[in-house]
Amino acid sequence: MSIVTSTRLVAGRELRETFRRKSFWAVALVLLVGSSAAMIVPELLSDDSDPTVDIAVIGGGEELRALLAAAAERAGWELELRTVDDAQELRSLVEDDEVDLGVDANEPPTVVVRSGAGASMTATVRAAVQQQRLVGQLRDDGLSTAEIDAALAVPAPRLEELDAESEGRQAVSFAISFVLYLLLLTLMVQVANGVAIEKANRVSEVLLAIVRPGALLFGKVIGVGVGGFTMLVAGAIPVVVKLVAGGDLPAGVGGAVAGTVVWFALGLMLYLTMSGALGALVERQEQAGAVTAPLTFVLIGTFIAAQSSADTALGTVLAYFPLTSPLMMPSRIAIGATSTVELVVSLLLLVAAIALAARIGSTIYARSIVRTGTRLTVREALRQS
Amino acid sequence: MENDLVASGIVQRFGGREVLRGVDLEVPAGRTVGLVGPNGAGKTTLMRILFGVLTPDEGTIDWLGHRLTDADRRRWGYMPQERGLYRDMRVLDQLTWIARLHGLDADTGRSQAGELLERLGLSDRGSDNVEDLSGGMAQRVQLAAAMVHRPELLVLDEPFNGLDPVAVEFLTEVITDHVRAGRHLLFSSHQLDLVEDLCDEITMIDQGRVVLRGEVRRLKQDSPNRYLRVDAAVDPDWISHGSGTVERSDASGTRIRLNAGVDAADVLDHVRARAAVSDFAVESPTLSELFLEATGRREVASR
Repeated sequence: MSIVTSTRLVAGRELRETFRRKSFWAVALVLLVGSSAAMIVPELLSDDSDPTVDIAVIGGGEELRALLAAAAERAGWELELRTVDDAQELRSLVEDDEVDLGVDANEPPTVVVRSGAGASMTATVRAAVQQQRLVGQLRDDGLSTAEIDAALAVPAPRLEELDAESEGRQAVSFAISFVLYLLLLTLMVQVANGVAIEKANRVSEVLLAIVRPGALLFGKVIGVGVGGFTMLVAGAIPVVVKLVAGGDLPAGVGGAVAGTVVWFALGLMLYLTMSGALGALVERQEQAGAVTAPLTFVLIGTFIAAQSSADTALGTVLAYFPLTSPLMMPSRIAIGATSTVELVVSLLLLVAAIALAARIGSTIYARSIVRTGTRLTVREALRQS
Repeated sequence: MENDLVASGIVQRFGGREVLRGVDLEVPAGRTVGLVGPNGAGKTTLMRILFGVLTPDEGTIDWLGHRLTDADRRRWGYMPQERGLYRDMRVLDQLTWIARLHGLDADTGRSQAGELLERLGLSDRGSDNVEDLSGGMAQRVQLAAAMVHRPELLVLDEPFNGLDPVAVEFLTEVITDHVRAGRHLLFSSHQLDLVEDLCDEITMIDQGRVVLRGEVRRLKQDSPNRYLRVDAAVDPDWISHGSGTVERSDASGTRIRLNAGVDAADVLDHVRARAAVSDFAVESPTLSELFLEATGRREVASR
């Protein structure tokens, strides 16, 4: 029997036993429901029609209202106007978020917004207010209504807002990283635990007499990895469904999903191989968490970095480094910060790291798994005979 | 040799410590072979080497006349001293899976596992998790895991450890059946007296060296500590020189120390020709005594 066949048998057992556990299906269900909710709830909250803009106005008469309505129509808003009497009320309405914007048409004309209000909305309203004053000015100068209309027919410069979806992309990037991070962490502990249990239970000795250590290690990695991937699929189904159905997803989700799948699969192999080898070092199952702690720290650090500095120089560096790229890359793809060269080089480095980890990992595993009675260090495992 | 498992000159070091120092071992077909010696002698290490769990620093292993391969090992069965099974896996699933690792297809594996469970009296526990079985049942499942693929060589490391008398009898039966079928069997034990009657042959090791090896019957016969006891007064002159010496003579009879290799029946005939013997016995050394003889120690030290 080849090592491939025995690896397949080991992985098959791992999967069957995983699928036999109720907790597995419970978590998968939670992921599916949570992800569905994340896809559906925004749809429900934002009625699909145009965004509504509430504006409170002081003075300005019918003319201003007509101009605002025309501007709103061009911008594709649903306009809600309300008239207030004094500036104080106007300000408090804006402050309390009762309205999006306040216009005081009295001298000097003022547009009141909360800090950070949408730039295009503000600009549109300011233009309308300015226009009204311009109309008054021109009329005072003796121009006819026709002449005024002709003058105003000159189209205003179109406003193009760049990076309009940046917020959406960041949210997607965060969600992806968070799910991956949790999943990777869980599976890593699962592999280390599984190996430690096999060692503590002495099943490993029964098995090592039948199959090579490599088959035992990779069979477990593949089995647990495929189980984890099933989880990921459960979480990804709603995203894909929405993508295919053409729902209103933030741009970049498609690429992020594809990139995530690739980097996650490879990252999973790397991390699980290492944690499997580390799990073989321990004497008791309780030590499995401690022995994988260095990997956990790297994961936590990368997760934080992927959230805060995916588009910085640090992010670029971490996108190349094999231990950090599996979490960093999907984030960078989601926010559109990658280049083709970076993608290719990062991928190659990751694959090379997996090959290296497989070599060293199976050596550590083979040498540690039957050495019971004490907790070994990596150096001891590699040095001995 | 053609039908044997032959390990020669096995040396195993752990760090600077030599655990096995040039051990030879032969397991012929159809014979119950015991690997005996005190705890820490190196028995488990040798078995792990046989199964490739450890790679020896020196030495060779041949099987049926050729150098041992992984494919050969896959047709062997091993029950390690440290019993181990997946505790949260169903008994029948586990045995079937192990059979498949040995190269059987799923159907054959499942049916053989079922038959074996039946034979072990566990046929109704196949769908239970191992952790739900009693200790004795789990031990039988462990034995089943070593035999489910009907191995050509069955290796049992300290199989009698922690067994109750019923289980000992049962295991003895399993071993005897396996050997009668003309297959190979090797088991280890540090309880020399317990396995005395079971072994056809022994390899006795101590501190990583073979101290005694061969057919148990012959080893006893060749021991200088073998006695013929008769309920008659025996004149030392009756015993021909070279066959034995009278050790002790009293009212209850005479104790004659037999020389190594001498046929006790011949000596008895000599005595019976001269005196009436109504009761007699041959006192052969036990395996423990043979061990003490071979090592020059005063007791079988357990470490």
